[in-house]
Amino acid sequence: MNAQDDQPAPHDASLLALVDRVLAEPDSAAHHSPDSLETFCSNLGTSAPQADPAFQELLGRRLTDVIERRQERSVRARAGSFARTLRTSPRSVRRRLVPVALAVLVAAGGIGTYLHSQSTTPVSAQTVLQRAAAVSPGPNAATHSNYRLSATGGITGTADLWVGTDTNGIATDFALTQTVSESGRPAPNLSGRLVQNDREFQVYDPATNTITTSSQGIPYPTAGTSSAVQNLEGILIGTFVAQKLNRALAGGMLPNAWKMQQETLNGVSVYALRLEGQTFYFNTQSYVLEGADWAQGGQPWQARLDHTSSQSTPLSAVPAHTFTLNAPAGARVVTLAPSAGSSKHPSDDKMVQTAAAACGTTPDAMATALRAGDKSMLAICQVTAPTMTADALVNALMAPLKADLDAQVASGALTREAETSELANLRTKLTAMVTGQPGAGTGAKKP
Amino acid sequence: MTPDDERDCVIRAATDPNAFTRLYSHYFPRVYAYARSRVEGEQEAEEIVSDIFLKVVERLDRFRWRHSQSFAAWLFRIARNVLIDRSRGVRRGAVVSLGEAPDLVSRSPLPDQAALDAEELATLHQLLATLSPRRQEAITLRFFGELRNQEIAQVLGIDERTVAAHICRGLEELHQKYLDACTDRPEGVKHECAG
Repeated sequence: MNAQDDQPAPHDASLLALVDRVLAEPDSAAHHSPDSLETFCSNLGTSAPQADPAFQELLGRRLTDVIERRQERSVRARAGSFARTLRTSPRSVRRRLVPVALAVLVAAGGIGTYLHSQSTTPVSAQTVLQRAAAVSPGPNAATHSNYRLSATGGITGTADLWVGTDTNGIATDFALTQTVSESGRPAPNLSGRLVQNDREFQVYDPATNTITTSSQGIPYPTAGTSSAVQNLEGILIGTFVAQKLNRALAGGMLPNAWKMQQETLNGVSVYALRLEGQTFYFNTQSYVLEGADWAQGGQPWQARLDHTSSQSTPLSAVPAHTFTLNAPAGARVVTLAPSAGSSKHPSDDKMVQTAAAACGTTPDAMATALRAGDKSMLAICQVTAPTMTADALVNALMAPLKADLDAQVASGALTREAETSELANLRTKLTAMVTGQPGAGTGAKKP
Repeated sequence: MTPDDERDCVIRAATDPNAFTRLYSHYFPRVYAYARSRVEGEQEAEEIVSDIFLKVVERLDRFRWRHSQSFAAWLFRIARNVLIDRSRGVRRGAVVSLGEAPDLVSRSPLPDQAALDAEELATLHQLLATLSPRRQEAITLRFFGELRNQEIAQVLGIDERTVAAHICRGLEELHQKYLDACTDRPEGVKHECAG
């Protein structure tokens, strides 16, 4: 057999036949002919080994995660100067910026997670958030949502949420009434009402018959107080969190600890976005927040949207006093005054920032997770850095402290022996802190 | 992807996941096919491809665009180095002689075609394995990596004309071995040689 005799059969587009055909050309220079090689190549391509599409997608997702994390670290460095700018800005500027910080605080996490929806096009968490953000009722409107609440220990209740927008369609007014029962009896310690706008917030606590109100220009949560109803507010305004997060993203924030998958929630198709103990369920069609899962006081809580009592309406049609506190006349009033300590955001804590950097997450995500109160710092860290150990985390936390002590030794303010003793003491305390229950010593507050 | 698109993506890919995703989608099939042609199993190829693209991501910000062919050459130089590293003392995942590659799987949607492709590829690999390492590299980069001779020259660090010679002589050798293999087959299965 030779090449001349062995002319290609009708289906001889096959690889070896094509090799044969290329080589059978009289001029050996044909091997260098772009046409021949291109033909060879393109035909070979149809037979070339192809990867499992799932592998290709998984690897692509991990690689984009790497890029996003790297970008996030860069952004984090810039965020330090942003935070300094924020603290020194006029209050009017701060009021505009704080919602962004709030959004990141509540919803910070990775958004580079992709999943396949029913089509073959991967949908990113970022896309879901963008679409969820677009669910805004529009300018001068209000959304009324009612969520059914439940938790272990026979806890049930409702959360009645109103969100009002201004002439630009930006959410500016919130009113949340949380009514909870425990084993069939009213649970005032888990109930309350909160109203908030871009100037101040007020919370009514029925357990103590107390109204807590902020000073002008000190918006929640920087006033340093927390209640059950405040905790819930951060959970149920998920659509607005998404809206705000998108603005944060436009500024280059690319946090990285989200897990997302498509699921069915009470018969409704949802995108479940999970972040360190919190899950937000966005309707895959309408992108409305269908529900949320979170931990509060060590208990798993659930909120599920009641479709029968949720609606959007023009602001002009909103019932009077919807956005006022309506507390009993005899309630005690506590006005929070601004102070250096109270205005400090948990994520501003150096310890939180150091831990976040070591764990590959954001200070806001770390602060949020610590505030949730259901995981140790090490466990939180291992979500984004699975190989992290207690020793490694403690070493990371000690590094800046040791640098300070070294400086003191160098200046003669501290002896080397005293530094050694202090470092040993610190290591013991930090080890207890990172492996124990969160909250203590981190600057983050339990709800 | 046009050269301009590629240039734009390469410039932005180190910090823009979307740009990287475009590059990745464009090059993944070629890198995978190349890696798969050089190692024993599918899982091994996946590990190598992962290593290759992780290195690409790590080094993207150091890449400087010089001309339209340089990114592909740069990418496959990384791919080749990963394969070489694997072949040096790495117990699992050593680069094997192509003749030992047992089960190349093609993911063609048609089972008959898949079987045919797999058989052709296995045969080709057996034949390729008999070539010199340099010719194997040149041919696999050309026909699995889909690189141009100029790019292969950059990857292998040799002259472009030398690349052409390796491919030319490699193909001639391949052709002869192919004919010999067909001649040695029983009459009943000779039709497979013709395709």
